[in-house]
Amino acid sequence: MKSERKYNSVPVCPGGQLTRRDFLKGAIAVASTLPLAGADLIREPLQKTGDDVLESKVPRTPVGIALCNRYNFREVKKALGRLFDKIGSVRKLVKHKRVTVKVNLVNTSTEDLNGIPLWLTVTVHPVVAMALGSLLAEYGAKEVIFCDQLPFRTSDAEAFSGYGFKIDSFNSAMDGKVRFANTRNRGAYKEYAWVKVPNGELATAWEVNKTYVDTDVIVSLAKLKNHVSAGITGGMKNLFGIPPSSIYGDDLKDEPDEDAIGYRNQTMHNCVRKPFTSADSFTGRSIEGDHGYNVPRFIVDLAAAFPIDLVVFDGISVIQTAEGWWNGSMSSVTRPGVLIAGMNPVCTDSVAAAVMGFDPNAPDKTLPFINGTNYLALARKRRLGENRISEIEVVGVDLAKARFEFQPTFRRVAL
Amino acid sequence: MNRIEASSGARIWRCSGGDSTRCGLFPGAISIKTKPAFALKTAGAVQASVVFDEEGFCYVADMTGLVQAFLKDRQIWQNRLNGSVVASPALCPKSNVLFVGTTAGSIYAIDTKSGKTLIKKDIPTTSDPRILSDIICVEKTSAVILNSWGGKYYVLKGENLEEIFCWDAGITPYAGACADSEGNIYCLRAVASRGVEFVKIAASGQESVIFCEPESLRGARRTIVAAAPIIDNSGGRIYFTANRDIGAVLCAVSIETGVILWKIGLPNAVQAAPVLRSDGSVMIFDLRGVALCFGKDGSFLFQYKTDAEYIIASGAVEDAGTVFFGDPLGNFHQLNKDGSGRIIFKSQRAILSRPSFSPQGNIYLPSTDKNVYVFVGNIIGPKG
Repeated sequence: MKSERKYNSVPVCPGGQLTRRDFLKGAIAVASTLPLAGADLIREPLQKTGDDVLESKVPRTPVGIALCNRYNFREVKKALGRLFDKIGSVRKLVKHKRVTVKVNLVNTSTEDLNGIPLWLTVTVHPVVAMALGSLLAEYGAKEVIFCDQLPFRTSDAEAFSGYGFKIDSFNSAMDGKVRFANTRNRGAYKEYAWVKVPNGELATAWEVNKTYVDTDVIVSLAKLKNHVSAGITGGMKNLFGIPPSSIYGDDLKDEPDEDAIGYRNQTMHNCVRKPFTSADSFTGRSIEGDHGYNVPRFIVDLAAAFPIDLVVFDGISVIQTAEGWWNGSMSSVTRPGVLIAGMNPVCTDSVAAAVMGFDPNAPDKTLPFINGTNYLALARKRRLGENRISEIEVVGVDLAKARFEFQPTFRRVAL
Repeated sequence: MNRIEASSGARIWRCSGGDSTRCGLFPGAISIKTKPAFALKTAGAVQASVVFDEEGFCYVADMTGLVQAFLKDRQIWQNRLNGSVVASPALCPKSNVLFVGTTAGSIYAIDTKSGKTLIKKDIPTTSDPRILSDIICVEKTSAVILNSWGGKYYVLKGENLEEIFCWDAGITPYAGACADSEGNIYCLRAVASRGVEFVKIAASGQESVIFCEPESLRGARRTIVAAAPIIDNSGGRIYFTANRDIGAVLCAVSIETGVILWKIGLPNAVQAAPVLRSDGSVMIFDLRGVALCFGKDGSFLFQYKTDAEYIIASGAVEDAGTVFFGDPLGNFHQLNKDGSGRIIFKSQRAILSRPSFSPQGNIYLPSTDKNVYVFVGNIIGPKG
């Protein structure tokens, strides 16, 4: 494990001059030097700007789409490789770097959707992860860490194996440069990392497993899905798995617990209680019980704190209408047969939404954001990226050709 | 065109599966050319079956909500609706009206000659209004039958879409109903604390539960009910599948007595309606990518494994017993009477809907690659 260096500077903003490591480590320094007794200490005021100023500062990068209809390692790897060559300097991004890949897995590996395995519906298919990892290794990545918080107290390799992620196969495909990390608690680290949220709305900082900080590059490996509260599940929503169960979990009683494996329903969906962080880091501006309000805002607060360098979507075989097996018979399997990749998460999620047949700039409480706030529009207002499809360059397969209309996101209540 | 006489199946496929029996059987033996003669272009992925009228016009609805009429490969009209179309439309046998349901919860009556919307009716609900179930229009009464996630089945008057009666459709209904020649309706529904029920609704609206597959441990809320029952008129029976936590059950029911004639367990869950072959055997397409064939006594005849991890859409069968169906890998299969089969065409993207026969015996295969592929068929006789 890498030794940690101490940083004294406070980062100005994500995506600026500082490297990711600098920024994230800086955030740790803030946390370690400031007594995080109250959120006010690290909160920055929301900046109000005119639309013209906003437009000029919203980052945008090309987003690539490829058609790929089957989980064949060679086919997927070839398609991803071509996409990476088109969207920008992925090779340069990862060369000699430690890369952390946040994978979209879910809160169990023992379920299915009408007998269809989770990796064909809800979770990222291991072949896509392995193909990605293999490419990153070929591009010269020093180490690739696949991580998510998984509700298992077993070894990391065992926890991942239930999702089809077999460490031996990954090692073989990646020249031994792979590691799996279950980030449900602090894991092998002695302490947690504090990561500041620039202009945080519901959260001012996150207390997380250091895997997400002790890295040079963050990749979000997402599944193309609807999401009842967020509209769609994308590279940004995937970050919801970062806050660990040990601090944010539903199975906690009145203090943190390294054995916890619970989900974050109470703290980040219903918002009926705050997490057991070592300092107060939630603003209290959430609305109790309103998932459609809270979830989109937490998504943006996570994306602001953990700037994603690369988003990759497994859109080959997926669930539709809702995000998980727990949604019951309202969800069903479908087969878009696409892979999507981009280096800005807002742009990439927006193109993903468009591929699904939705307008990524749709007003709140309209499809696909039928149950709440459009998190992509919210992210653009926070200057995290562009969500208007006419402003985003699409490379690879033409968007009109790639479009595969999903069944609409489930509507909780009639309008 | 040859004159076709057969005991089951429809020559004019006015709804998915042919007619309100949904059996998927075309009453003529057909050989088809395995290369598409042409493709009908659509605006979006097509997940609904193509339907026809007796004049040879076909009607295609896609996931952008665009409905189009074609005569051969020529577009006649188009009409954009307010939601995507998953449910296969239905034509009224007695009038020139096409009924289309959308995921926005509206049912449209469209004039097949002009393409104009005659009536639009929103299905009432307090939650999600989507219509996913394939629609039928009963020949005897011209009644239109559908359900929505509002949780109700509706029987509507074909002429004005006014409600005749409705009944409980269970949790998030996806499966369409079928109806016999007397106007009796048969459907499936998932009901909390009870399970999956097979229900008969008399033409008068009187409801009777014929069969119940008890609720599995996961609960009825987790049980997908997407496969419509089908009717074998000549055999006097109905076939349906009901999913369990693991696998499913295939049942044969006597139309006359309502008695379960036999039931057998299936290893995998099912989302596609069964297909009836003219010898009385029945085909099932499961969610592990396997097509299974059972004799009319429930005996296992054969299975055909595809490369696909699952099969979502049902098939269509000609009178000699050859079944045609697509899979999510985009492969279009020809499955012969003896269980041998082959891929005859590859679509660029997934096939998620059931193929249809035109009155001339051509096969119309909808694809999510925004095409409906048309395979020219040659009717070689009423029986194979």
